[in-house]
Amino acid sequence: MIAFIVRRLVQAALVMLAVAFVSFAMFNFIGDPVANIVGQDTPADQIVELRKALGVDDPMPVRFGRFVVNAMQGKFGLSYRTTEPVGRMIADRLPATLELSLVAAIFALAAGIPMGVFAGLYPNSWLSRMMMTVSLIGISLPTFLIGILLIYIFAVILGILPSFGRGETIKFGFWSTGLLTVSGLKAIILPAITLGLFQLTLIMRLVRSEMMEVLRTDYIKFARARGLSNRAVHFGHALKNTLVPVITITGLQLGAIIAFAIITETVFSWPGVGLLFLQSVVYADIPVMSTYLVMIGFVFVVINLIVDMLYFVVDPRLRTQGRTSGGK
Amino acid sequence: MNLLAEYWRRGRDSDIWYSFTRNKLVMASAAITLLFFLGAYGAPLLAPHNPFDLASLNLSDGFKPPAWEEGGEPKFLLGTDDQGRDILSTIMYGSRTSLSVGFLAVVFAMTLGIALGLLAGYMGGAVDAFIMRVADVQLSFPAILIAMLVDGVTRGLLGADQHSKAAIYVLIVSIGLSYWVQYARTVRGQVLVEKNKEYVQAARVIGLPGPLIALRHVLPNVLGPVLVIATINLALAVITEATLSFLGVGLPPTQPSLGTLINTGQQFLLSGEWWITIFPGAALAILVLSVNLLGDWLRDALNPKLR
Amino acid sequence: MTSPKLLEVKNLRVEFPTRRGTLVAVDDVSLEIAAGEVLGVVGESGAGKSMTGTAIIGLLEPPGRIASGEIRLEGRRIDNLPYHEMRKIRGRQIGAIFQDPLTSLNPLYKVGDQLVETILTHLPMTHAQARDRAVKLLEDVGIPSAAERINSYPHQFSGGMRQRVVIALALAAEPKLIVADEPTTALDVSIQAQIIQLLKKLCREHGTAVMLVTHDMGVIAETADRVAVMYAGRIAEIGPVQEVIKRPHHPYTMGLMGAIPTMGHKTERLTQIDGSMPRLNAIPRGCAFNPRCPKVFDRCRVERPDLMPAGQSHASCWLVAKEPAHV
Repeated sequence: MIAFIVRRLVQAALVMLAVAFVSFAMFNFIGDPVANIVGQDTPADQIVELRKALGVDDPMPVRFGRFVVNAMQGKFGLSYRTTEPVGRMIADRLPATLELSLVAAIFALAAGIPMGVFAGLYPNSWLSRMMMTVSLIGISLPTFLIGILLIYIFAVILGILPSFGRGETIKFGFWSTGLLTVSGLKAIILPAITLGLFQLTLIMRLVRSEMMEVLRTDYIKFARARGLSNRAVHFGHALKNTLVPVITITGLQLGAIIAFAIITETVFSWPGVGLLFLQSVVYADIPVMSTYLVMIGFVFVVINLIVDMLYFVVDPRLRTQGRTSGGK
Repeated sequence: MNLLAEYWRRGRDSDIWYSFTRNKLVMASAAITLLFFLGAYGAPLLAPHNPFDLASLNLSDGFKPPAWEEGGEPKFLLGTDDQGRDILSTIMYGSRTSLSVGFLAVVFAMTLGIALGLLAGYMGGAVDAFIMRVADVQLSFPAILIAMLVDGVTRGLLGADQHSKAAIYVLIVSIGLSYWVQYARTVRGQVLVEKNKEYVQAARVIGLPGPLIALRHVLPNVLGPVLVIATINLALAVITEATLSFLGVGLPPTQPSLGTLINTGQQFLLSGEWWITIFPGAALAILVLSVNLLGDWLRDALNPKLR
Repeated sequence: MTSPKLLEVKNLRVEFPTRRGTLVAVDDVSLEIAAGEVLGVVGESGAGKSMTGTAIIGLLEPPGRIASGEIRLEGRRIDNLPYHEMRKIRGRQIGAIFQDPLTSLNPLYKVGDQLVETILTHLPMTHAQARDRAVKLLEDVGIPSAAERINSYPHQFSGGMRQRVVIALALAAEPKLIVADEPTTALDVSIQAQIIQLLKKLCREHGTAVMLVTHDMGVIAETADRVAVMYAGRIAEIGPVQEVIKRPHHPYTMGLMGAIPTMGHKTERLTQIDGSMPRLNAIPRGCAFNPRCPKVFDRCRVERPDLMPAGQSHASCWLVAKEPAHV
């Protein structure tokens, strides 16, 4: 198991290095970082000095090395647009995005798994059929359209929920949370549903098909033949066996949620990193874009690692690999 | 003519046609998709107004609700936007842009994917490893993110003015770049299967160039899966384009697609002019749903094993 | 209606409605099993033998269903019980063993937990008592150092050991009958005999009756008290095992016997039955065996024979008919 973890860590590091290189390449080869800092009337000798100070003319491996070292310390340079340090801009907005993503993921899991279990246990009931049809529509609707529809229904027609912003936030050190105020909680409902709906349909469909698959297996038939109650068969035996693929997809989707937050944050003017990224794309603010890329890459890699670890918790076959022969 | 009749007869007797006629939902989807193509590409002839002919626009026609609502006018069936443009006509023209971008992006992704898949499968070794590794890494990022990055990078390279002129091509390339992986994987897999078959070996013995053999023998075998991927990708590409345009990093308002229309209409939602954004939104949803249903059905019909 | 019989199956008919018409998997099957008796059920795959077993434990998979007939356990009808009633019978009164031990156990749970779960479902015990019983059961089925192995996962056992665990699970709540569906087919030949011996020994000790479903006539000859031969969903012949083997009455049974290698007749070639069993959607008129039967005559092609007394057995064959055609 240790060997497995080490192998995964090395892989993760390689992926991060690749992402960092793409990000570095964007940073270095698009536009001239110096030209973006200096004004038009900056004297030539000052520019030369700045070039030296920034190390722009060093050999590429050196610059890449410096980029990685700086990145690990959270130093990503200055935004072209606001000339603020990119690291701080992102750190300021990260809590908003993480809270939104987390609430959306919890919503997707909390609703998607039971719905999928139900649809898998009773595939022929009208409720299951309805859920499947609606979920197909859910998959076809672009996220931003769902957001607009929700705003129209709950903010415009019914007027019960806010259509933009985060509501009041409370600061804990560097972390600002909207989850502790009434207005903050109200503000997160629509964005979280918008963001989570697609993942919800995905998780529901996945759990349903896995559940139907598992229910056909011999060990479920044998569990029934042993006279176990429906509850023990369905939730004790069947559900646990559907978890491995569900964990995989959910893990990957969690990363996707953070990326998809770009859209939701735009629709609801949610002050998170997604909105920041969008603005940086519009203004070709390369440092922010490349930093965002590194951040997303990091999130994906971490989630993948966690998913791999969870396999060990769920599936004993992996845990004991290497000493299976002991059973003979 | 005889040949046509022959094809028609053969098509009519096939399993695919049978499964098509048995499924009402699929027939409806096909009809709707066809209707969209007709409406979109026949827009200059069929649309009641030309929303881009500035001379015909009249600001006093602005914010007209749909014809059946109070204050609506019959000549603007689905109402007008702030500048007095007929919503139905903008939807038709917008669908044309959306479908064109989607279609070309799929063609681009398909070409790139097939080429890289052939290359990876045929060359093997380091080339294969490199291409497939890139594919793996890219696949773990959402397509929309890739498309946005490509868009942002080109913006940085071209500058805002140039970028806006080239927007449609940038969009096609950026969406295409984000969807090539599936084609490459499918084609590569098939190449690996075909590569060791005797006729390929034989063809190589008589001195035919390798890539040509691969192309000739592999393509017919992957046509089915590639078609399925392309159909489902068309829906995805249309969504991606709409999303990018909605976010303001896609097509400029001078070249509106469905996404652009929804974006510009969104600001009027809060003040009650819902039709400006809801109708293009509904059009987009119906189009994507129909294409998705078609793709799903096609996958099942071409590959009964997967059912 | 009291009966000394443990299990009675009367005129059982199992149907599978499909798009192209209804398939009859089990057709008019009647059989009885006495307490402690081992009934072998033998036939080719698709003959309906597994389906009969599955119907008895009430686990036919929809759309399969019991169309008519009845199943009685100690005189009580069990084929029409609601799910939660039947569940109390499964495991407690009727245990089951399936073909493939590799897939019968849930891979994510320790074997001990699966045993304890089964015991606690049916018997009024504390968790600790159930655990002791689980260890005892594992010892009974011959698993070495059972007290430790109870904490192992199924994949840590070999195929034969897993089938022993499955037997322990089937016996966990002391059922009166075990339906064993091809319990050794998936195992190595060398292990098959061990498992059959174990099953036989345990059932004799516990006084458990067994319905042993198999296609292996050799296993039946060694294990069963009586045997039912099935063909195309019907019973071709049923009777005491020695009688059926030594004096088969149905031409199909004769063919089956010809296919068993026997000691002493080294020069004799093994015979085989020409052709194959009809598909369920194409069962011929009259006797289902008539197209392959070497002794076929006109009546077989028109009229379907029911079970008739034949020596100490019963056979559904016009050859044993005492009276001429009626109806």
